[in-house]
Order: sequence, then C-alpha cells, then structure tokens
Amino acid sequence: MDEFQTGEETAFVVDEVSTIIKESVEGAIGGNAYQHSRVNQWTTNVVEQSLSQLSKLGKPFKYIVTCVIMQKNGAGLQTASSCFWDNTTDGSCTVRWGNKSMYCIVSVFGLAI
Amino acid sequence: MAAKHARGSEVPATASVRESQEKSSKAVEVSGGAPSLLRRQSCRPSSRPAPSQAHAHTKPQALFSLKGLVATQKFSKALKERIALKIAMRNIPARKPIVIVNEQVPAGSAQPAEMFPCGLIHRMLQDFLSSRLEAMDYSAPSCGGLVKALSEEVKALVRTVCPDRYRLVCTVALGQLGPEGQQGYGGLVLASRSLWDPHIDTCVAHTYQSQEMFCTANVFAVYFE
Repeated sequence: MDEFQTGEETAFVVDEVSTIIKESVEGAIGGNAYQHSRVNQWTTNVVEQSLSQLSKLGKPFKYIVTCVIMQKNGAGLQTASSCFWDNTTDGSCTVRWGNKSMYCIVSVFGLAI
Repeated sequence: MAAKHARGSEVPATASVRESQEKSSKAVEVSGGAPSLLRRQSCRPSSRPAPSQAHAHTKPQALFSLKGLVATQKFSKALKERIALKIAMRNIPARKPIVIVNEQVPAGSAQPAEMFPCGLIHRMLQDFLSSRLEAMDYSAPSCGGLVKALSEEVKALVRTVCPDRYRLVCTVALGQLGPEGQQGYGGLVLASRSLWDPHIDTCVAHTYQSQEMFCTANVFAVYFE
C-alpha cells in the first residue's frame, strides 16, 4: 500500500468545497423566485454543477452531493446525517443558502479512495 | 450395411443384404449418371462452339429422364436421413455449448467479496421508519433531537447487515406537511448525485409519509478498496 501524504492535497478541505458549492448554487438559482415547475430542474443543476466542479479538483475522492430546495412558507424542516467512515481522510460540508422565497441546503460528503 | 442398421432389425438373410446392395449400387449409378448428364447440360451455355453443333446435340436426344432425376432425389434423401440417424446415435453434439455470462463487471472496478444488500436495507428502512414515526406529531423543538437520533439509529441498523469495507453515510430529513405547510410535496424537492463507482457503490432511500409530516431516509454505501 502506498503512503499518501496527509497534507493539503489529499485531505478533505471544507473551505474550498463550501466555496465551490456556494458558487454552484448562485449560478444555478441565483436571482430566481420559487417556481414549482422549475424546482426539479434547479436541484438537478445545482448537484450536477457542484459535482463537476468537485471532480475538477482532481483529488482522490468519491463524492456524494445532496440538495434540498424548499419554499419559504412557514413549514419546518429538520435534517441530520450520520456517517461511518475514517475521520482522518473523509469529511463533509453543508451549505445553507436562501433568498426571499426559498431555502437551499446542499451537503457534500467526500470519501477518500 | 448402413441400410441394415437403420432398419433396426437384425435380418441375417443374405437376400435382403444383396437387395440393399443392389439398390445402393443402382442409386450410385443413377446419381452418377445424372450429374454427368447435368454437367453436359451446364457446359453447354458456357462454351458455344457453333450454333449448328449445339443444335445437333440438343434436338435428337432426350437429355435427362425426369424419372431418373426423381429417383435420384428420393435415394439421396433416404441416404441423408440414414446418415443423420447414424450420427444421432453416435451422440455427437450438434452445437458447441454456449457460455452465458450473467454479470458484466466493468474493467477497473473493484470486486468486493460481498455486495451491499439494497433490497434488504430498503425493507429494513420501511419497517424502521413506520414503527418509529407512527404516532408522532411534528413539533419544531422535539423533532430536532428526534432527527439526530433517527439518523444514528439508521446507521446502527444498517451496520448490522453491512458487508466488510463499506463506508456509510446516512441522512434523514424530516419535514412538516398539512394545511400550514406544503400541500403534498409541492414545496420541497430532495435531490442527490454522486461521483463514485456505480458497480459497487450504491444508495438506498425511503420516504415515510403521514398526515402531518414526511420523513426521508437515505443510505449511501461506498466501498473502500
């Protein structure tokens, strides 16, 4: 088994990932108001854009990206996640974004290969 | 001899053997005859020496006898059947055995000893969620802690049947429905996409819905080589 340098190159860097996610969300649903007919397309765009930007990082990781888009109408939403992995090499990052009409919650889980 | 075998009865009488021999010889003769006649006929159009000569060949003689041709066909057919029977009795397989490959493993993909049991996990999620959330009402303060507990419990549950070397990510989303909240699923969309090895990594999801709330549990299983 090769010895990987546990430096910046092969660890899960939360800041970098969260920047990428924020950019993807802004790009996909930036100035839009909630529209029921377009929500499906938006969630797809957000996850696909995030995933393509993450793969461009070129790190030896498998990624899981989940996205929740919810209309702001007073209803409540709770989310939680639990993971069984190696804490030294794997990590996750959650970004909460919102505008006047909707919330968007994106979670990225990165598992080292 | 072949004819005797095919008939299936051991008749030692020489008369019958002689008869079959005569027949076979006749068949050879006739079949030998006919092709030569046919050959002469086929030669004719390719080499046309002079029209007068060709005419001399064609008109006076009968080139072939229909009866002879029919007889040849009958004999050859009978011969073919006899040979086929002989081969069948020797038990030679007619075709090569075909190998069917069920699982096409893509090149470069890892091959775990045991795959993740998606169907079983899905059933377990169904039972777990329905039993845990049957008589629950949604209330913002209590459901925060509930969701965390649920996600830990789902993880523990899946770990009992999870094969070796698989890493798990379990997410639980619990939301409010009803007149105050969304109408049905109108106001909420959950999506996920992953960059992994699709042959060995997988995801299982289940949504439980009641009058007041919905709960979605997701389990992602990623193999570590």
